[in-house]
Amino acid sequence: MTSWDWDTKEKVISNLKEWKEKFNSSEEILVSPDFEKIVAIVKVQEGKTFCINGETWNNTFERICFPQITPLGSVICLALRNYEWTLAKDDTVMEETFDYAWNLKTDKESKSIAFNIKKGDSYGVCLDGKIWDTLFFDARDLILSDDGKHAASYVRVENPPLLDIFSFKKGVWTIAADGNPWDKNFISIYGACFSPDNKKIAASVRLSQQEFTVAIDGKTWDEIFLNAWEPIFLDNDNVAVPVKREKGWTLAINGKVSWPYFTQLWHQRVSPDGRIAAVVATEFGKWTVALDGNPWKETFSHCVLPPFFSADGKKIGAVIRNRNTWSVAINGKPWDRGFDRIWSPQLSPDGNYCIAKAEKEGTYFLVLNGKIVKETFDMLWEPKFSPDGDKILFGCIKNGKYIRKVLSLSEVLK
Amino acid sequence: MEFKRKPITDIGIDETLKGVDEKKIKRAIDWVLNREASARLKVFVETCMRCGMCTTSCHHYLSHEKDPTYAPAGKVKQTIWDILNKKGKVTKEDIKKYARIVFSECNLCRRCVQFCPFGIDIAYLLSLVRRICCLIGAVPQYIQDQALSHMQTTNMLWFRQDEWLDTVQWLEDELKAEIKDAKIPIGRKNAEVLYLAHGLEAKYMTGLLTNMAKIMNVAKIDWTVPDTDGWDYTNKAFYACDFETMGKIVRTHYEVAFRLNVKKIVMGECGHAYRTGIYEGVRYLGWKESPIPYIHGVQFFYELLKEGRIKIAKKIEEIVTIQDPCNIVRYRGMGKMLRYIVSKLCENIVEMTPKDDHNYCCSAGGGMIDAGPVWKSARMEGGKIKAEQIKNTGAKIVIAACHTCHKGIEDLNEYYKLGVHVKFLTDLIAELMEIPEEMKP
Repeated sequence: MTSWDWDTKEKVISNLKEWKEKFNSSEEILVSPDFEKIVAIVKVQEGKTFCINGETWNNTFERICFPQITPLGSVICLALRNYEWTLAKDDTVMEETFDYAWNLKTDKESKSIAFNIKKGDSYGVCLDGKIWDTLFFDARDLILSDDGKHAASYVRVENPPLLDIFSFKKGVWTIAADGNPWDKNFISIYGACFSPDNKKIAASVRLSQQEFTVAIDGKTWDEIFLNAWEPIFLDNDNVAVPVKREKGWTLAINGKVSWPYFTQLWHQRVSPDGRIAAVVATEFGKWTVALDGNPWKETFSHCVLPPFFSADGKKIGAVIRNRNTWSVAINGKPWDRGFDRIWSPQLSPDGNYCIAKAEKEGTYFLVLNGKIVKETFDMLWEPKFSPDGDKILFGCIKNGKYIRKVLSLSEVLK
Repeated sequence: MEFKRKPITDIGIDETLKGVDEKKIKRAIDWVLNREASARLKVFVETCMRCGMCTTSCHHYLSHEKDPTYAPAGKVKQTIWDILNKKGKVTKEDIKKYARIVFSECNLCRRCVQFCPFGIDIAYLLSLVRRICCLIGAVPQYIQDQALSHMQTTNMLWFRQDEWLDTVQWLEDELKAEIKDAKIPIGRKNAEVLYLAHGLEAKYMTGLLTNMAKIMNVAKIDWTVPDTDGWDYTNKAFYACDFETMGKIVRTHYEVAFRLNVKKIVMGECGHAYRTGIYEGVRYLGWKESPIPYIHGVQFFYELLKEGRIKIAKKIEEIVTIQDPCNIVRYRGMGKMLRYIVSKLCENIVEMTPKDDHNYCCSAGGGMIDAGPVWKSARMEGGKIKAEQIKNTGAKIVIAACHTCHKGIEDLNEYYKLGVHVKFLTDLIAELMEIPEEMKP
């Protein structure tokens, strides 16, 4: 982010009206993380391709799916050509082809690209061009380690015929990491995640109708629960998971119940200063955030989305839906205004400001600490604070033009 | 009151019970009665005056020549009261009998509740017995198979992820022959509507999904379908009272909606999934109501017609009648919306008697059709009154805005030789609506 242009106040990147004249149709508009590129899938005579700031790729395809711009600004997708699927990155097409490819993912630093694949009747993962040595009857979802060096997928290792309920009840699912399945099967396995050092995998597993626990690298906890949601690693050794017991939902850390009981608990997250925040329902229809087991006083009627944090962990926010409108609450205090929709709020580095993209009746605008910034847009992408917190960068469409804008905080506060 | 039935073997029940001891049965009963059953159980058991007002409300009772063992209170007496009277010390044979009654002789349609002077929810009482059977594992094979699929895949059919995506893509290609540049957007963030499909629409009934896509395109809806698990709105685990799986499915639907940041979820024509999506699953998860709007196909079509987003070019002239799916009409009062839509599509409507929220269940609901072929005869026998109702209308077309009603009535049509066609609203609208000239290829 520090190398991004934080000085140019306004750049017209592309005139989208020209795109409309030039191409039969355009869809799936994306912008790069630094807002310097606007990308769309466009239809040309030979098929579909990408248009990036007005320039098209040379390669064309029958279909383009899962288009993404990586954190470093590469354009990637899974594409169909001559009835075979492959990966395309920055107008270069991978030689290997697949009967199907989906769930395209990159790691945070764009070092690796992985996706699920189907070859013949077998399923697995392709990571950085290498297909797993072992393929399976089915592979679902893709979990990529933070360093991008390891990929995992839920796999079916047994293939009983349909309706063979007794075999399915024994468990036919496990997880495979880099193509190597665990040696235990489960009725269901979900919520898998890598440890921060990328060496371990934790997942919730279902052993029977009412027996759920966590497995780490295939080894299950001794403690069994009535239900469980997705686990997270608190650090390289400790795992926290929402679990259900007779009294309700709570948080178990390494198998031990560590929080009070709630009507519901999910989306636990670790703050930068090491505290645990989670979404809880204190009773039916009363949703809030609990921090280290202590819920905010204020509750919200419809839902609360996963908590987010300031850099120092002192401010905790969450998107909330209360009385049928979306808003944001910071440290338990909701903004006064509600919106039709709100997108990924971001806290300033010092935690004093929170900015978000919001929509009301089809108009898009910025909201800072709950106050609407006057200028409205035909489309807007999620704003970002500069590393020093003094400026706000965003991309928008106005009067048919895609514009990259930088506003100082004082301008936004006016 | 003698319980006489033709012997039926369902390995999901019979084979399972071979491996179950009576301790496990007692444990399941104690758990459900002491830990899960709410105050409602006590109130209902203590309130019921055995007045018999519920008796003639039940289509199974009416279809079985007024055999009292099919009366709602009779079914309660033979199941949950029997369990209570025996203080939970019941045999495998008892469980087998209970399973038969609760899975194949009650559709959980709640018509009887309307006739009870105290509003006792008899379907709830029988659901408790389903839950006991679920914890024992004694569930009809076909329902259990679908629930097992839901547990991992969240869809009912063991569908792989690529199969869903690939199906949607070739349906989009096909639709382009009818609608210029037709699109079925997959996983498109920030769309207004997230559309969820019935599992069967991705495999055996793809025409229905194509027709919904056609309507979406013509109405210019800003929509998407999921690019991940969670695309199938069905929730067969609900039939088994497998609440753990039911909750997971419903949560997945809403999590997909949150991730894609849509304004609302729209589903097609299905009853049980609507019930789980706005009530049963939502409550299990701790939501008082759906966290974002969850719209049934009937409400969606009603709004499209009211707002003029689609226009009907011609009407059907043959006599049609309307089936009232229990989960959307009796539970949610959508009878008027349903009739408004049908009135826009059809010239000659002859209502069933009784109709609207007092209409009879199709005899396939509540999991009966999902219980599989071995229970089909029970379903056909229980649907006799529904067949008579349809026949008496003289209709040539039955409109059924629910997958279960649709298939259930198709089977009744064949069994009782009614000579009708059963139609979804989606198919009728797609066939009868105007396609603007500029949208034609």
